[in-house]
Amino acid sequence: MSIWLFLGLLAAASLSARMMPALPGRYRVAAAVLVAVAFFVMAPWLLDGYRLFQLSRVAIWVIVAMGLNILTGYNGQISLGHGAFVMIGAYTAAILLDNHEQVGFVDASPWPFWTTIIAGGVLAGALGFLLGFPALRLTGPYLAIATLALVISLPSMVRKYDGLTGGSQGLIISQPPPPPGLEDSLSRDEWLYILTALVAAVMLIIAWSILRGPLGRAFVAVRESEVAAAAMGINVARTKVAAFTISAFYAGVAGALLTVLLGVMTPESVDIVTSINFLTAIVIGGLASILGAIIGALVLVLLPSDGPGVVAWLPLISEDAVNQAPGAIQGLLVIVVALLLPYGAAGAYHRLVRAGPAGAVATLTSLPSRARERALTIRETLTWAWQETPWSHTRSGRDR
Amino acid sequence: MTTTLLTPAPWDDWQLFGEQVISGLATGSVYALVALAVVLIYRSTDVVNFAQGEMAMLVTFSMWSLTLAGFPAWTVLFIGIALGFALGGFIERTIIRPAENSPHLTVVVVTLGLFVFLNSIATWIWAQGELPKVFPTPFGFDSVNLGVARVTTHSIGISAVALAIMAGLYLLFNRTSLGLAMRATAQNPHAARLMGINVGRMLMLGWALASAVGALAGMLVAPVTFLYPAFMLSVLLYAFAAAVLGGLDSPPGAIIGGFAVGVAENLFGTYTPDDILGPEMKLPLTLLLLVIVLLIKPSGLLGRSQVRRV
Amino acid sequence: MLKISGVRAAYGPVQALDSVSLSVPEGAIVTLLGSNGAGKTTTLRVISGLVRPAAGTVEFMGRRIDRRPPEWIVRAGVSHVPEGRQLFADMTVLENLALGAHTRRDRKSVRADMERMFAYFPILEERRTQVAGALSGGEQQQLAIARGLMSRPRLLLLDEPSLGLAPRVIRGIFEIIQQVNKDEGVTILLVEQDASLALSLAGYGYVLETGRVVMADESARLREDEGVRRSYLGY
Repeated sequence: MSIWLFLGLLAAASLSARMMPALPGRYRVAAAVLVAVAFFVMAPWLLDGYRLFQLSRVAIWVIVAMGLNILTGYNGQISLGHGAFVMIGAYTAAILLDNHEQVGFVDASPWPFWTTIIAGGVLAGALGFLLGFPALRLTGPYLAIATLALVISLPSMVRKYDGLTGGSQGLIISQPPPPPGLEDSLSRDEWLYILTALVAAVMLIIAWSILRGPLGRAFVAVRESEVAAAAMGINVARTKVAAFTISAFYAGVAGALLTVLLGVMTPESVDIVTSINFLTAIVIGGLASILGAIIGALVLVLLPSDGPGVVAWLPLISEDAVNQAPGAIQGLLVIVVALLLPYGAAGAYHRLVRAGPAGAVATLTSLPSRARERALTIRETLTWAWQETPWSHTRSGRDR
Repeated sequence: MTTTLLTPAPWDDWQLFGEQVISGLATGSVYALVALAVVLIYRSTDVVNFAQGEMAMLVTFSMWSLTLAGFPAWTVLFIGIALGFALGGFIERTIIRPAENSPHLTVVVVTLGLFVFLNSIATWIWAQGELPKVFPTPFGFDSVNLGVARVTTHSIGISAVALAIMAGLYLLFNRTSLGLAMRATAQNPHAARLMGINVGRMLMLGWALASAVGALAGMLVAPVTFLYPAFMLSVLLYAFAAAVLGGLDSPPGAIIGGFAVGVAENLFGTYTPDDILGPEMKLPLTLLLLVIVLLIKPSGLLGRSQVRRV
Repeated sequence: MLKISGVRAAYGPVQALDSVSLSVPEGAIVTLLGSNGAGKTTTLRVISGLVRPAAGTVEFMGRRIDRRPPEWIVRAGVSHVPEGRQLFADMTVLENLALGAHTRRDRKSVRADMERMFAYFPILEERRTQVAGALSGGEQQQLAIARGLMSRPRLLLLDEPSLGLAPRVIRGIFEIIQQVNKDEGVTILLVEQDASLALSLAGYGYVLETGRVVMADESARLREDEGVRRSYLGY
């Protein structure tokens, strides 16, 4: 089955479960989630090895995106540097899993892989905790640039201290085999998919329970107004540091999984563009939304691999251009989606759900006319700026 | 280990120290220009333009093509400024303006998307042949002895041009009614509209100016760094550091920050022990310095402590 | 001079104006009364082009100005002194005044007009090189009005000039408003919380309730009206 059919069916089935009139309201979300889970459980039978590997990557990016969404979406702190936390987790796992002794104190024999996932998360979380305090003093753009500085500094540090990290060669690990008894029935790709998807599911459940609890409400309250939050008895500093710590923990867990999935970790495995793309992904997927993190992660993986091919289908676009400059297509799509869906894909989804089945159909069918309307408004605002000045008061009629 | 903190120490070789400081000031003037561009856009549109460096890169590559066609270096410099101006205005009008009522992060993501887009376009068009390309300088690379240090004419040239641009921008913003209107737009766009100021045109002009300044910086630094699609990335990072250091909303801060970062970068590269730090670590060290400054002054040296805007 | 008919306006889903019609004759002072949220400020914002009406027309000196951008309307001769003053807080008094004259090119007469403003508002001359944010509330309001007059408007829209000021200061400002109306022939449309003050100044008044004009009459008659007295005058 092609991945597009898979995802299309998943979206359709889950959306119809969400809007099923027969179900009482509070079960509809559960039904939609169950349908989605069922699809992901069946994925190893439905998709080929390459797509399954891609879905494993999606699962890992879901964890990062969820963590970043906790920080940026729910708590309102921007980070462009989550790639750094991913790298910390990834290198922690790689150092613990490889067969070498690092700088004389890290054990040469590999640890059990699941402990390294926890270790990666904990170490990244600890760094996040430490960075959370300076971040308290920085507002939006300053924090964005400071975190960008972090992710940009890391690769040269990794290269410099090669005794620990293997330098630009990176570290190679042996991937964990499937659990005993399942070696014959599971291929490596299937096993890694199950592993990453399971961890992602657990991390999403944890995120969900944090976000609906008092801490989650504190995150949102602090984002909306620190003054008002403090007046309600919320410890603003503690809340923001907590968001940073949790968020970094998520990125670290994802990083450790990435090492396991790739079997190798180099300074280039998580580059600046990837780190920036985490933020892009959650904005396109939808801020402050679990669904947004999932959609964002899908976009992060599928846009580079399939975006150019899809665009090549459009008339007037030469396949050559698409193949030569895949990044151009990707950047353009990011811009277009950000402009058309300012509240992200999850925002659009929630609008559809609120509209109900009939409303959703109406909305979808009215899309072309609405797009035309929007184009007209844009054109109007653009021409406004150039309209000539009126009859009186100016002699030259020019602005300068 | 017997590493001293300063290897070699500045007092062992004053000539070297002088050269490092002066060449740091020269690259610093380029950082200052890019930082100014970042600040100009931040003040008027409230957004950090992450595509600033790539816009300059695109212009510089286009101008490289012109020099191949035989245009002299000076002419190319002026055409490049004009092209940067047009590009900035075009980008503001086509992709930044439509996002003006969207959440703030949307605009940030649009500039990030633009970053990826421009980078890929340049790779497609110009990265086919040999890289990096050599970009000509109108000032030449002759060596001049200033007594304390030997510097190149190029270093002197770019510093002079940068200072001239800074003076010009100062006059524009403080001595003309157009500059006054641009400042008013940056400060309170709603009130500015009620004054009869065409706010849209001012924003577009702000982007155009910033882009022109950035493009000029790109063309000034390209003869030293050579030209490849990512050549502005580290320049932009140092410029961000400079802008943040001085305060994102303060043009004088950007200039001071630019020079400070340029000198700091050189000194870190020269005077830190090679086995644990050294030249490869000068970027992390500069950025660390930035973070330390931010912790002491969270909105930069000259920035106003701001109420968070939504 | 100004004629609004059937104007409807909304902020997103919130209906702010529901078919407002009114007219302001040349040279007059007209006031808009109403409680908070009645649509007074929105009416001014529609006139000055900050809000685009969903329906209805706005005519100024015989020309339609709805669907025009604010910068165009300023040039047409309408000046809006907004609620909360909206000064350029980091700029000096002189710079604020210069920005008020942004639409004008005749530098000499701009300078003469500044001197005239200093005659009306002497305190501004003393403060000419101070930044607007450092002025007191009353001084800021005077600066806002002076800035509004610098474009040489035919029609001045004043939104709550008394907001947050001491009664004595308010009286001074209202005297100047009256004087400007008389001397300069500037037509004034005044939105004001303090109804008795507004009615003492204006010759004609409109009463807005939830986005509609519910009453329109000469000030003297409005002052006599039982409903107006109870709701807005408080006696």
